[in-house]
Amino acid sequence: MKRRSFHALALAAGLLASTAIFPAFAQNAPSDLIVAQAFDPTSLWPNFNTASDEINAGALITEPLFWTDPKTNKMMPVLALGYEMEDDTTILVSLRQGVSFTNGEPFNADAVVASFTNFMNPDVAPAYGRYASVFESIEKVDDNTVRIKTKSPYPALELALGKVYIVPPAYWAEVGADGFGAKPVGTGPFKLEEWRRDDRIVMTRNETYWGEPLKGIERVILRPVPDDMARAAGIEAGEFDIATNIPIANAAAIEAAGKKIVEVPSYRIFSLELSNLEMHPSPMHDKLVRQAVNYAIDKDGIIDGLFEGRAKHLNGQLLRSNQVGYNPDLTDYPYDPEKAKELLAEAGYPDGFEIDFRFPSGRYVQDQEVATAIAGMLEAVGIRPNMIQLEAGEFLRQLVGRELAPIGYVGLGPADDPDLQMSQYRSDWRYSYVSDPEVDRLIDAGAAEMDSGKRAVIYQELSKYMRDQASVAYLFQNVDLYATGSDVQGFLPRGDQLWMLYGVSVGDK
Amino acid sequence: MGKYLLTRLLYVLPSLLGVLIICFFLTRLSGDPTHLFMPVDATDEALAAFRAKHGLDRSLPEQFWLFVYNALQGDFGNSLRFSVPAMNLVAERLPATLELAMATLLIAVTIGIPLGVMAAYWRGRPIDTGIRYLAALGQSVPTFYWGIVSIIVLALWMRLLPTGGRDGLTSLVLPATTLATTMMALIIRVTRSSMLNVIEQDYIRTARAKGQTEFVVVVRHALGNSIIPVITVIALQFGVLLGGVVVTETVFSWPGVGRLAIQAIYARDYPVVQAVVLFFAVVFVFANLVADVLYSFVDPRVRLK
Amino acid sequence: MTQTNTVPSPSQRRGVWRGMLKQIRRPGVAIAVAVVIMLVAMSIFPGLFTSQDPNLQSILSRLKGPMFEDRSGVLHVLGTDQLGRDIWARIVYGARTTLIVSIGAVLVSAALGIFLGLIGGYVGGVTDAVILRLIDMQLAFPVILLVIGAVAVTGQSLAALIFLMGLASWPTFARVIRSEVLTLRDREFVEAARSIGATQSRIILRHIVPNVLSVIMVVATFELSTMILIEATLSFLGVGVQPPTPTWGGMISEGQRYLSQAWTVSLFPGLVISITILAINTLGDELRDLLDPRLARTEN
Repeated sequence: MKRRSFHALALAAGLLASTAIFPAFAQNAPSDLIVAQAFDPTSLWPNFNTASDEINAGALITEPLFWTDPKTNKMMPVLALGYEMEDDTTILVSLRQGVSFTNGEPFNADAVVASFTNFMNPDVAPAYGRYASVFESIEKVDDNTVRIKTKSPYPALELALGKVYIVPPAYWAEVGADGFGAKPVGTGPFKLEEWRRDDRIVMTRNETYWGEPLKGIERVILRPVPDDMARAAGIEAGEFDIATNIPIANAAAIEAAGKKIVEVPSYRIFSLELSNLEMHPSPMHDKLVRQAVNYAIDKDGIIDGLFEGRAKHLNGQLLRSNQVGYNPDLTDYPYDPEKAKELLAEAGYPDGFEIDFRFPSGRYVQDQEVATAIAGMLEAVGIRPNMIQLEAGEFLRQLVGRELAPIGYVGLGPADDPDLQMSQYRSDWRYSYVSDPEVDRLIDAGAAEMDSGKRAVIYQELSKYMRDQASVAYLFQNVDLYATGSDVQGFLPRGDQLWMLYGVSVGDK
Repeated sequence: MGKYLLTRLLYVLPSLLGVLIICFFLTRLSGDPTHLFMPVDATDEALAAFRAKHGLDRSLPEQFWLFVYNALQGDFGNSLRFSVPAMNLVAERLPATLELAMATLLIAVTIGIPLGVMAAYWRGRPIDTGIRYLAALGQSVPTFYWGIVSIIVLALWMRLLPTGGRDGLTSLVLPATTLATTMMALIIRVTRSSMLNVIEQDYIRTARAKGQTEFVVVVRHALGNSIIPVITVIALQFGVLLGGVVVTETVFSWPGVGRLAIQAIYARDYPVVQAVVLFFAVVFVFANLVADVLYSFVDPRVRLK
Repeated sequence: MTQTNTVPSPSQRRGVWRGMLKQIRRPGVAIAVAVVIMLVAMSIFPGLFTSQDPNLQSILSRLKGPMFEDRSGVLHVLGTDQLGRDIWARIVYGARTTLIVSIGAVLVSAALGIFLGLIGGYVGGVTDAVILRLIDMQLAFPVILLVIGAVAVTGQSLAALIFLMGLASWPTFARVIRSEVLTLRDREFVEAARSIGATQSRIILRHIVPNVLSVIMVVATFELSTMILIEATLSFLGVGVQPPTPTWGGMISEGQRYLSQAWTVSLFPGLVISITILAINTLGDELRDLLDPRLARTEN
């Protein structure tokens, strides 16, 4: 009897412990747009940092003068009305009228001048030094016009203009960059309501917004969800309206759950750095060996197999097909292991060789997997890679420290301009692994040419030359995957992972 | 008892200092972090300015001296990423982590101890075997895998709970149970073996002979006398628990100190890494101190001196 | 930890081994022993268990389920992983690395912990106080943070990983050994040795060490499971063993990304880890029960 009472009690205790109490879910209003990104921003001032998750959050509140719209691939005026070139180095920008910041300050030429002055001060906006150095000066012409001078003719001008976000000068003077980053005030469609670090940023609709109000969206809630699997599960379960960086492996299940997958060809170009720098002696100095590496890699296998078709061929060049300077005559090195072996033998390595191969883990999409696959392909032709896996931070340090040699797996995603892309391969660039005077000459020629047609010819020549030299091993162009709820319309990010909510609406399938 | 606690605290100080020193050199050895905070195409001037601002251009001994000097005054430096005091970042995220740790402890103890008692009581019976296998299972699955599988099964398929975030009690259930699995398994094992040591002792027989109910005998006499090793293990496991927080908070996007820690390590945000490690160390020490005090409550024979 | 009262005399120790043999007849223990023997065989002669190359990729036949037969007629019993490699072959070949890493780490931590535990317990005084502080320091420093931080410095070599994992868990050994020694130090047979003028090192090696050996065994079995899990977690965080070398933990952490497409990829290595830890823990439990003299009395 006594023992039995103990049984009963033990059973009761067990049951009690295992049944948790489930209160009702905290319901979000249907007019809340919940966006899951990987990281919480450090600052909501978009010119604080160049990380896309940060800019995307801040750009809902503060706006730039121009924005290159991914739907049309054209530059669209935001706070500007348009611009005209007075000469090669002088731009006259006319500004939108009747716009004010949510704290009541007017948007005018003074605000633009103040914002550009911040942007051009390396102590205030150090992350944008490369773009700031383009500008010589800015002055107010009248309340609705500013004149901007560049130091020299600059082909990627529109790009640089679009980088500057306009802040209210009086408020900025009061709180400074750090204060503004924590509590921004802007002209954008939303204003900050609450920011719980690492948890959520809540933004409410700006009732006095100058533009078209976003249909069906009263609030935007940004949630940082670092784990890819968890982010994908969240959108599949309907907890988020938009989720960024969806793993390819989850795309099918998300679509099957009735959500939409948005595929955006990324600006990120993947290649193997095959260093021919003097500081990195290796067989990679031999053009034949570099070509052999290119022949050894099965691009189709990677794109169709590992990425299930959600990646694009490079066609033997580093510029993308919709860019100025893309060379339509070039093709990928075919996958030909036999040819690779022949070339290696011809270069004096009939038995192959052993070589260090560095790659990141957790920085790029399926990076460890792609690197392992490539290592297997190289091994098959006699190049025995000694795989060195680098944690993401260490990888970045080695990349910019020129330690990612002799072979390094990289995905470079610079701004959308042929000069900014190709100058990454100039021999004096911080993380260039190519040392070739001809490459340098063509890069310089392209950078100085303002005429788009002549520019294109120079870059086509450069691409052809680099392909023949096999300056790098060409791999693929990445495709970014986003997922949205079925009732989210018009969401389209750019290839640099930036997005705005202009034209996005919720409801009415 | 006050004097005892004070002595204990004094003993702990050199350990904490040691932890900080190791942490300082470990982080500094991992190289110049400047490039991780600036865009890859940042200008050289901008890089130099960043280094100067955070004292990274000074020699290592100089940096160390400054670090110790400031740390002794309670200043652990500014985060390289957020430009605010590192300790503030930890303090901001403290409530979330403590909430998670307490819930974990609660689950692990309320399930672990009864199961351990039952296993010991019915030693060698099927129920004992079952509980022991359950414990082994809990100890044999990595935390991240538990986490992801539970997200898929409970949040995605069954839609019982949210996949992550910190939004009321429902969002606490998955991360806390995930984190509790390992600890619960350990508590089961320790409770069982400790109970076995006690259960055949003479005073248990005496208690039975006196006609006390079986429940009183088991819970008051046997469990009461075998609880000390359990408390010790829980306190010692606090370090492991905090390590587990790192993974769990990342998987469940729980806005706590563990996630801050992993981000800071990946980004080489030295001051934040130091602040987090110091925080973990203090929590660990505190947990063990609490365990010491608990001893004297559960067992009158233990006197703190 | 819990074994503070366990002080088997030499004669009891012989009883332990006899008891162990007797226990093998119980089915649970027999299975556990069989599992361990098989694992050891796998890591020494992997070729006996599979004819497949664990690193042979075939991107076109990736993420296939169990019993998948590829175009060349090869049967993949447990299916293939994200690079089309045979999962069973990777489990078999992964046994070696997994066991080397985890056993290696346990050996490192045991060596360090036993040494410091013996010294601390036997010498006492200031030395003991310093060692206790070291233990506190190490316990307060989360293992995962220590290893991630240090791997950035040392690079992800196997040796560095083993050493760091070992470094992170020596305090468990040190604490247990130290308290064992404290109770042994003043026992008659140690006193006797001291009175006939045996040197300190001789007393420690001849009289103390043999008596704590069984406790060491028990702690070691538990630490072994912990190490297998730590290795998996490190892989998940991107600082585990270098690819393409297979480890069970690495297989789970790579495979979890494909849970929605091919859940078997992470399930099988997960099962193998569970079975292994179950077996090791069963043996550890048996050992502990046998070592406890009072328990032994109640059973016989």
